[in-house]
Amino acid sequence: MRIAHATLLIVCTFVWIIDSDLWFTEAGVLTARSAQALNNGEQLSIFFWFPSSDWLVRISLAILFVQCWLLLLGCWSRFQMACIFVWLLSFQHRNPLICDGEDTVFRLFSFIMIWMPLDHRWSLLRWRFGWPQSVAGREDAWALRLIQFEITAIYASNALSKFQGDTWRDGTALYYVSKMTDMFGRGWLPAGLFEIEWFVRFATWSVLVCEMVLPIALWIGPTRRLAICLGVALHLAIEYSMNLFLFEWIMLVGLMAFLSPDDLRWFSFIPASRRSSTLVQ
Amino acid sequence: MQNTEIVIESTKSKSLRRVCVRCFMALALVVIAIDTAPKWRFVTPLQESIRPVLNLTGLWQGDWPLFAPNPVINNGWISAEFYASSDASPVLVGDGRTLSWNSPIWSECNSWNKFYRFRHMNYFNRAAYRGKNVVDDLADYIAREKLGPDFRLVNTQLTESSRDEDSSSIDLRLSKNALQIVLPEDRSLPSPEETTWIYVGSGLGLRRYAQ
Repeated sequence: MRIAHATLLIVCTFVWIIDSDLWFTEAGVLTARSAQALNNGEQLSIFFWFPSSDWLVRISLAILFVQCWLLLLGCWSRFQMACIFVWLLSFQHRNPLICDGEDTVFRLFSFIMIWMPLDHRWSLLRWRFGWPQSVAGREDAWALRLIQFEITAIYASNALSKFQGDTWRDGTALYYVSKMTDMFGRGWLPAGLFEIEWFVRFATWSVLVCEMVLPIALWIGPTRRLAICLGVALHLAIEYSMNLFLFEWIMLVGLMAFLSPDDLRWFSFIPASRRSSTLVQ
Repeated sequence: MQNTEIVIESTKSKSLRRVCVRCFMALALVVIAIDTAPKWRFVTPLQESIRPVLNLTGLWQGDWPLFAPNPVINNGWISAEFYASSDASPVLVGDGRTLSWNSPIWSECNSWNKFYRFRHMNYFNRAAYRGKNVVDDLADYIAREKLGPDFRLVNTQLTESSRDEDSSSIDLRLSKNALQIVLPEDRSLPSPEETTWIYVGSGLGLRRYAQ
């Protein structure tokens, strides 16, 4: 999880760096004053304490980028994660208009992962100093449970919100989604597919049922693996058909929290004796 | 005896740690459940009470209305036109075209473009709806990009008929534009050829800049 989360953070930060002046400086599209007014002043950001000059923004992004790489390599990972949480908070408050659900997930996962044993495995530091690989105990896995709660809450909240919409109940929601020229149409799909009424209703209700079932099925032993497969299929299908940047990938990282050591038998390259703490890495 | 005392102390500290972790987990579960609940009447007061603390600590999330309750088609863009303040004639660039600016038309962009410019997509989908401050900042940014850094804001209290005959200043008119789908009366799902789209446009603001 640490490695996957760090990889996505590197991509996210790199995209921010490309347009850093546009999003985070006074010469861009949103001044610090307007950003503070957006949230009635109820936010913390380094860029509200200091003038958001070009050099401060660029240095901050450079430090964030380096810390994401250090997290990936497993160098003082919990410290890096704590710093990354503060950076994410600062940048998201500085320009909330460019942020969406995936940024919320990035931020919350970063906070939760501070409390995890992140450097127990696949850590450059551990390899460099010759520290023996260790196995994290059950008492260290409580923060993993928080990620499971969070993923469950996201599915449940989304399902409840969708159920209140008449287009989701009558099965036409995906027809409207297919008309979104900005987000829809990433991968090839047969022409006219989303005008076939039975297909639209089937797909819409499938998404709704999936999101209503997942919060429950992920917590029941006999259905957990099937639920994980269902969740992976749902997110990959959305990733194929829509442009949602990294949202589906960070949700897949969250689903990893439900994998047990025995599940890793399905990935045959992992030996039986080393499964217990591999997941957190 | 000393080893036994050490073991007892270690067991006590582990028990204390376990209790603390369980209390924290219980609190976190309750907070997550309240924060992510839909805006039901009985939950809203609880959400309002915890939101300031969550906002301050960076742990806010709110509910998750992903294309919910109903998908909102936002095939829109923001445009800016420039007019001479003296006579409202369009400002022309060197090759005779009118000076103007548009946010990206996403239907004309490929998937890679949409991927690395996803932040642009988020921003331009929201900028027109988040208040005057955001719109004014965008207008000022467009003016800097198109007119140059020498032009400064001189007037924000303008109307469509405002003129300044003695000035070489330029007015920037910002507009939001959208294509909205019109469904048949029987709520059936029309094919692309049968789909009717209507153009909806409205002004966002008018600002004057001068050297």
